[in-house]
Amino acid sequence: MSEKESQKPAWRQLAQGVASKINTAWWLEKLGIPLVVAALTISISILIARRELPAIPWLNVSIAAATILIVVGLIAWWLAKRHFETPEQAMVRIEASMKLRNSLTAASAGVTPWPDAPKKVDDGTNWHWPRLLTPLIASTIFIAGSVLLPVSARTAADQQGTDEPQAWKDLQADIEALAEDDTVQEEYLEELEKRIEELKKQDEDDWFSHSSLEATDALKKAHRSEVENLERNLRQAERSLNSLQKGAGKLSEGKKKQLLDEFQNALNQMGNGAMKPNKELLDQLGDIDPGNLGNLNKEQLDQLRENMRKAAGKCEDCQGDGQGQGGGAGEKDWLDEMLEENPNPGEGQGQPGNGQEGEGAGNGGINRGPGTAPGVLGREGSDLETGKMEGLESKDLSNTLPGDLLEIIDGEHDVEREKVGIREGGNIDDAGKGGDRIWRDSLLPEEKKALKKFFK
Amino acid sequence: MEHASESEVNNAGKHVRSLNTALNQVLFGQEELIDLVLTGILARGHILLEGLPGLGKTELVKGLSKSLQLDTKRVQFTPDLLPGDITGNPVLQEVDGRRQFVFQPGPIFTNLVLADEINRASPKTQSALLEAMQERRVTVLGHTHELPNPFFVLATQNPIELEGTYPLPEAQLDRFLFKLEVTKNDVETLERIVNMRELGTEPDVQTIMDGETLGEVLALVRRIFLPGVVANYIARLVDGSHSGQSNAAKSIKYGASPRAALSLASAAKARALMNERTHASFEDVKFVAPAVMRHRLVLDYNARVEGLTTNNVVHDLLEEIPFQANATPRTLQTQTPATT
Repeated sequence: MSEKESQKPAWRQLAQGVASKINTAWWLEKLGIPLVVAALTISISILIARRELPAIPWLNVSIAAATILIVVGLIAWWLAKRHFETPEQAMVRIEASMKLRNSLTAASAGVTPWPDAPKKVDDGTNWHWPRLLTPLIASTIFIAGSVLLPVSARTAADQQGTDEPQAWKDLQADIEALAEDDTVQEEYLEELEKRIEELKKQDEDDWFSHSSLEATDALKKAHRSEVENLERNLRQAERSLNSLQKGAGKLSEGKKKQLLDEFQNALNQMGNGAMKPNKELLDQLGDIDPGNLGNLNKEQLDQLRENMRKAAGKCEDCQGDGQGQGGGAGEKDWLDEMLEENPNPGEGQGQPGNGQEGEGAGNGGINRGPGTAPGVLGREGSDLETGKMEGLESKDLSNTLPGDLLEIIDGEHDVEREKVGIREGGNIDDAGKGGDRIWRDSLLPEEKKALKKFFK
Repeated sequence: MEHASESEVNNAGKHVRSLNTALNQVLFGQEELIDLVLTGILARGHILLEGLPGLGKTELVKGLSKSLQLDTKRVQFTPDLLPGDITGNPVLQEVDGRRQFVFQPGPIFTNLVLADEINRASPKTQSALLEAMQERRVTVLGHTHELPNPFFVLATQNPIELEGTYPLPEAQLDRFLFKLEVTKNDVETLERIVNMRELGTEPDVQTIMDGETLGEVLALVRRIFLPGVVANYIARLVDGSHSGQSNAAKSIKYGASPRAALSLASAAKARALMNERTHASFEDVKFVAPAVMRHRLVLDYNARVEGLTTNNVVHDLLEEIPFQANATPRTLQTQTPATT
C-alpha cells in the first residue's frame, strides 16, 4: 500500500463517524414527536394509576414505560432508516464542508491520491441543541411530573359519583325512620319515596339544577307540613284525652265539651290528612268514645296516650330537614304544662324536662324551679336568618341599567326659539338636521357631556 | 476514456496560466472575466460578451487570438448584413471552360470569430451564424463546408442603444456557453490603463501556444474526471432552475435546458484544468454556473417588473441547492455553505 493509499482507512473511519452523527441526528429528529406523545401517554397513565390504584406497582410501571419508549425508539429508527447515510455519502459532506474540492470522491474513484487525513473533520453541521433537547426535556418533565405531582388515591367516597342533594337524603332518612317505627301509614311513605325516585331518575348533571332543587324544596316543605300537622293533631288529641282523663267528673260541661270537640277535630284532621298515623293507632282512637272514658281502664288510657305521645315525638323528629328540634323526650310544651292541673299552684319546685337538652320551666310558685322560662311567644329567630336581612340601596351608578333613574334635574332644555334661516348680514344659522339638531339644540349641557363620554 | 493524469494536467495548466497572465497584460482589472473567457475557450464554447462600449471586449478577443496564434476574423454586425456575408457565397466562375458556382468562404471560416454587436444584425443573419456555431459547419447550395478546428465565436452586444436592434431569442442564446458581463473599471484600473496605454496603439501580446497545443489542451479537458456527485449536483442545479422545483425558481418562467447541464459539466472540467486538477468539483460548477445559466433562464412578468435579474435567481439557486444530495436533519444546523 502506497503512502497516499494508507490514508484511505483513516478517511473512511472519519467518514463513518460523520455518517453515524448524521444518522443519529435523523433518528433523533424522527424520535422527537413520538417521544413526546409517548411520554405524555405514559405520564397520563401514571397519573390515572396513582389516582385509581391504592398502591402503584412501580416495577411494572417502569417496565411498561421502558417497553413503550423502546418501541417508539424502534419506530423512529425505522422511519429514519431511509435517510441514513453511508460513509461514502458522508465523505461528500466532508469534502464539501472542508473545501477539499471533491478530492475524496476522486480518490475513491482512483483518479487522485488520498489527501492527508486530519485528526478531526468538519462535516459542516452542528447540533441544533434547542430542537434536540426540547422533546427530551419535555418528555422528562411529563414523566417526572406524573411521578412527583402530589396526587392522592381516590377514596371510596370519591368513587360514588355525584353526591345527591342533602334534602333527598334527609327525606330518605325520614322515610326509613317512619317506616321502621311504623308511625304512619305506608301509602304516604310509598308516595313520598316514589316522588324522590322520580327526582333521582333525572340526569346526574340536573340534580342540582334550579328546577330540580325547587321541586325538592316543594316536596320537603309538603312533607314537613304533613309531619307537623300529624304531630300537632296527635298532640292535640293526646292533650285532650289526657285532660278528659284527669279531669273526669271535675270539669265543667263547657270545658268538657271544648275538649271533646278538640279531640274529635284532631281525629278528623288526622283522618283527612295525607299522612295518617298507623292503622292500629287510628283504629284505637276511632274506637274511643270520649264521652265514656270510664269504660277504659287507666292502664289502657295511659297506654293509648303513650302511643300517641311517642308517635308525635317521632313526627317531631321527622321534620324533613334532618335537624333535631333540640327538645328532649321529656320536654313538655308550655301549653301542656298549663293544661295539666296542679294541685298546689304556686308551690313546689319546677320539674325540668327529663331529656338531656330539656329546659323545662318550673311550675311556678315562690320556689319555682331553676329552669328558665321559655319565650311565651315562641322561639326567637336568629338574627342571621334570611328573614332578618335588609336590602341595601345601591348608589353605584356604574352598575345602572338602561331605564334606571339616575337623577332628577330641575331644568329646561335650551331650545332655540328663533327661526332658522338666512339672517341679517348674510349669515346662515343652520341648526342641522335630524340627530344633529337634537344634539346641538335639544340637549342639556349635562346630557351633551354624557353623550360625548359615551361615544369617546 | 482514460482520465487525465496529474502530470498532463500540470503541464497544460502551465500553458493556461501563462495565457491568463498574457491576457491580464492586455485587459487590466478584469481577472474574473479573463478567467471565464479562458474557461469557455477550454470548454470549446462560444461566448457572448455584454458590456458598454470601450470596456475592452474587442481588445480581449484580439489579445486572445494573438496569444493563441489562431486565425481571427472580425465581423461588424449591421442590419443590412446578409447570411451570405458571414457564411460565404457561391460565385459564378469559369472553370475548365465551363461556368459554375464556386463557393467563396465567408469570414466565419476561421478559428476565432469576433461577432461585434451581434444584436444589430437581422434575425436571418443571426440564425445563420448561430447554426454554424452549433453544427460547426456551413451548408450552401447543398454543399456542406466544415469549419476549421478549433472554432470559437466571441460575440459582443451592447446593453444600451436597443433601438434598431434584434435581441437574440432564447433558443439562440442557448447556443452560447457563457454570457459574460463586462463591468466598468475602478479608479485604480483606469489609472493603470491611462499610464500604460496610448490611444490608437495596440498592446504587444506574447504568443503562448499554437493551435496544435491548444488542441491538445482541449482534448485533455475532455479527459478530466467528473465525479458522480458533481454530475448529480449539476443535474439538481438545472432541475432546480425550473419553476416549482425550488424556492429560487419561483420567479422563473422557463428553466435551463439539458444543454445547460452539458455546458456546466464542460465548463467545470475546464475550470478544473485551469486549477491543475484532474477532477472537477462542486466549487468549479459553482464558479461557472452564473455565466452558464444567466442567459438560459426566462423570468416571468412579475419578476421583471420587480427588477429581478437572472443573476439574482442563479445566486439564490446556488445558495439553495446544497452540494450533497442527501438532506440534513433538522436536529443539525448547517454551517455557512462553502464558497469558491
